[in-house]
Amino acid sequence: MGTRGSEWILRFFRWFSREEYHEEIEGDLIEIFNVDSQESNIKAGLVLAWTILRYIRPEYLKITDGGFMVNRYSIFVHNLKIVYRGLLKYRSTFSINLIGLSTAFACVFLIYLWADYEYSVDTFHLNDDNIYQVLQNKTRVEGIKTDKSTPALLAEALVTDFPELDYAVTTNRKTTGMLSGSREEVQGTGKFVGADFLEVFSFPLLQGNKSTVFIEKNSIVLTEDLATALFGTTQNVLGMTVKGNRDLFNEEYVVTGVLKTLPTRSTLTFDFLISYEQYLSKYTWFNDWDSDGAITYISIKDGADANALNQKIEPYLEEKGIRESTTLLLQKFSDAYLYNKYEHGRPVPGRLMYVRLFLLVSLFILLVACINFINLSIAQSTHKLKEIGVSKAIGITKRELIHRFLFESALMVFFSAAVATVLVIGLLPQFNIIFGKDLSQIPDPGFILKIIGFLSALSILAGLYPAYYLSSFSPTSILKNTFVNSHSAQWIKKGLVVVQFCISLIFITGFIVVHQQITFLKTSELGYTKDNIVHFNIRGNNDVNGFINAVKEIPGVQNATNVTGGNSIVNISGAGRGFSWQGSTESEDILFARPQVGYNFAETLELELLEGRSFNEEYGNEESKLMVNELAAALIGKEDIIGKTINDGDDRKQIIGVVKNFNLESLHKEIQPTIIRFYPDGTEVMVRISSLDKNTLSHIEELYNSYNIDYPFSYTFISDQYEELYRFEERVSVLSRYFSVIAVIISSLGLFALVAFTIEKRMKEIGIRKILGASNLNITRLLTGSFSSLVVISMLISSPISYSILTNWLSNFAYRITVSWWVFFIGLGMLLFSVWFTVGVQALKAVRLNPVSYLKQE
Amino acid sequence: MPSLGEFEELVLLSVAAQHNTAYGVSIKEFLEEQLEKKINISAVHVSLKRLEKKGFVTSTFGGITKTRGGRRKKIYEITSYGKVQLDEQYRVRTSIYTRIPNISFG
Repeated sequence: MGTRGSEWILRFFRWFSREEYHEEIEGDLIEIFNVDSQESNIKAGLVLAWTILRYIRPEYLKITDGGFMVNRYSIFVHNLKIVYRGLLKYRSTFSINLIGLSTAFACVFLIYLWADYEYSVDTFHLNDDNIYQVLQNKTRVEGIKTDKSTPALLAEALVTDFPELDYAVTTNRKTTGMLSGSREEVQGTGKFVGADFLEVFSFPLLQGNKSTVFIEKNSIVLTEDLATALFGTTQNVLGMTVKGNRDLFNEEYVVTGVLKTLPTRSTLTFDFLISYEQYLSKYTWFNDWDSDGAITYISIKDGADANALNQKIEPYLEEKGIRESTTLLLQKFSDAYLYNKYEHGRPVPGRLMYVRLFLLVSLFILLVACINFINLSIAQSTHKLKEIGVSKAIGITKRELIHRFLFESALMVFFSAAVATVLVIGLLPQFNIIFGKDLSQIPDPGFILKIIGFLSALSILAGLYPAYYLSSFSPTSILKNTFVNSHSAQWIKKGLVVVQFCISLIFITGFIVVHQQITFLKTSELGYTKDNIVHFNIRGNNDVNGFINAVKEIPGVQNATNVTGGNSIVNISGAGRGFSWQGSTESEDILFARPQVGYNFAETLELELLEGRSFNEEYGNEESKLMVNELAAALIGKEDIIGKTINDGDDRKQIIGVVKNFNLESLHKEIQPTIIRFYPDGTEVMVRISSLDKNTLSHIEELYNSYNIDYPFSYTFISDQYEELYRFEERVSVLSRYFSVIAVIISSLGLFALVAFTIEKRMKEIGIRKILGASNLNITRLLTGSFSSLVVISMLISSPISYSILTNWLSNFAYRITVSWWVFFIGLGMLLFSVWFTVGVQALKAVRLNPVSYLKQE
Repeated sequence: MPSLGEFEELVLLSVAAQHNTAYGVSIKEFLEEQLEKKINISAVHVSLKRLEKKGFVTSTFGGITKTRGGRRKKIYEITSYGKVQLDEQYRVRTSIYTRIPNISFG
């Protein structure tokens, strides 16, 4: 008789308890069960189950395979010992692997840290999934233009018309102004924002209530830092007043909140926030559907379908009859940082492309290092043959051998990763400078787990082939010395070397082309002379021309001019339509760049005047005059262009001069047809000085201070501003330089070790050749020859790949170099040189040995 | 001399009482009868293991019976060492008991 229906309980007992007790206890239990079950089967089962649970105590539990554990441990120690001895014996291979892998890991870690940073930008808002920015797609003759600027009235209309929305807020771009508190007057940059701004974006308030801070139109919210600057404290500043200067409408503002210092991963940056109501009440023209200039963010309700909403919202402006050929587009707020380009009215990866590119590049470096590891393991196999043969002969299975080799690769990988971590910690400050980001913060546990997972996967990946290859040798053939290296392994080795060479070549050519393009950008003819021009702002000064005339008096100043509506010459934004002339048609309503400049513009920037003259004081007010560039002149009609009349909206203006084409923006964009208009009161001043003389600059500063301008004097050089435009490309160039050097070094190191093994194996051959009369040169050529052909094959494979990558990258620039064929040959030359050097050194060493010393061995 | 818990003492007594026939279930039933309360077999087993470890009992496998699903009984027997322990315990107790003055505990 058994325990009907309760066998599984006994099975459970047998599972956890020690075998020596099974018979006695089970017997007793069954006996009791049988007595109990005469009363009730279920009760008997329950009693049995309960009783068995009570046996879960230490003296009954299985000792979990004590003997087995000890065995495993000794295998572990044994493996460790063998690996350690192997490392000691082949120190150079070990250090080459260590250098390669740890450098590659350091690259991967750094790039991954950076990528992680880029991916996390703006995602810290609690409501992140629900925050969207509203953009306008305007269909024009040139194509669809996506614009972040929207009508100020849009936010409120959207909230009313779309129940899916929680909030919609309007902000302006940014406003710089002077603020004075109880302690000091401070310059700050802030935003005018809609009432629910802090409901949408989770910038934590130290003081104040996020839903009521902007109820009054003269309320201001300060960041910690600004509050401290203004009042010397952040304590009890609520209710204090802050006076704004003219850029802040000369109003008194009441502090209603203090924000914690903004996270560095925020693209929204500001020192203060003021109610948008204030902005609207001063700039009343924004209260109109015809004006753009506001930025609109919405937050949708939890669970609302953003895609559906996007489709619903798209024709909104057209349906309401507000605008024609203009649609709305929603973009997730935190995506806008990485998808910062727009093509055909849709966001496309802009910055994200670079993030991906660099991740890929760092993985390629890792691949190069892994290939070293794999190749060296295969090459080393001749040394390990005896070991493997003996191991197998004494009964170690293939599986156990595979484990040993995988263990070896895991050890290598994790040790290198540890070295890499130290490297990263050391390099991070330098890296922070290159990327202009502060990445030095302790990564979260998830990040570390990911890295460990990645490393484990990698140790298996890198170790798998060598492990299978090495463990598959037949012990008899090894021990009988009849073993021949398999052909397939040789092919794989060569194939992997080719992959390494290809990666190196792609990096080298990439670096050359990026460098060429950047040099081209920096040195190309802009149409103006960018050196020795100082740029600063004199906002808040009524007598702009008085100031400019005074500046020109300063010794060392050659000329001075002023512009408006933008920054300096490097980045005058804004283009417009509405120019017409005799013979122009409606369809020729062309988009012109239209900077507004003061007297002496062409002279100060040294624009080349092709015809006519520049704006000049001698002619008095020139507001009815225009200058054009060559492109515009060609459109309008070159003949007798001086004196021609152009309708600028309702005004009739006369062309007085034609200048050579010049760049108003970065060379990413093409020069546009440009009409230069006259505006004497622009506050952006550009001064050409004869040399970078401290005295001249301090004289300008003195003059500036004597003009009682609200803002402290701060200037930049046009040439610096120009370099700033290519900061990102500069970073690409620096990184591609580092990466190509690293790739070449790692692969040369691998090659070095590989050649050492090859030559060692061919020593006898070399000896015989020498005895038969081969010259040193002959033999060296023989040894380097096989590698040279690999380099050439690599060039043939890699050139089309790098060509297409590079032309793709160059298409970002309106002005660019072409990828010339010799770039690939330079790459080839550099690689050949490094290969010949690595191989040649060792080949020479080998041939100079006396052949007798290694031929008499048998 | 190792100490003896109260329940262990009872189990040891049972083993001694059921000379040559004591095993888990029989001890459990015997004690349930004597103490007039339910006892879980696991408690008996734990005590037996401890007694055996302390050297008060020894065990041998007995015959197979049908009611035990083919498992042998484990028969426990008291050792002389165990008997000395019981005698000592008994002596101490009676010696103390006899000192109780003859007063009425009404």
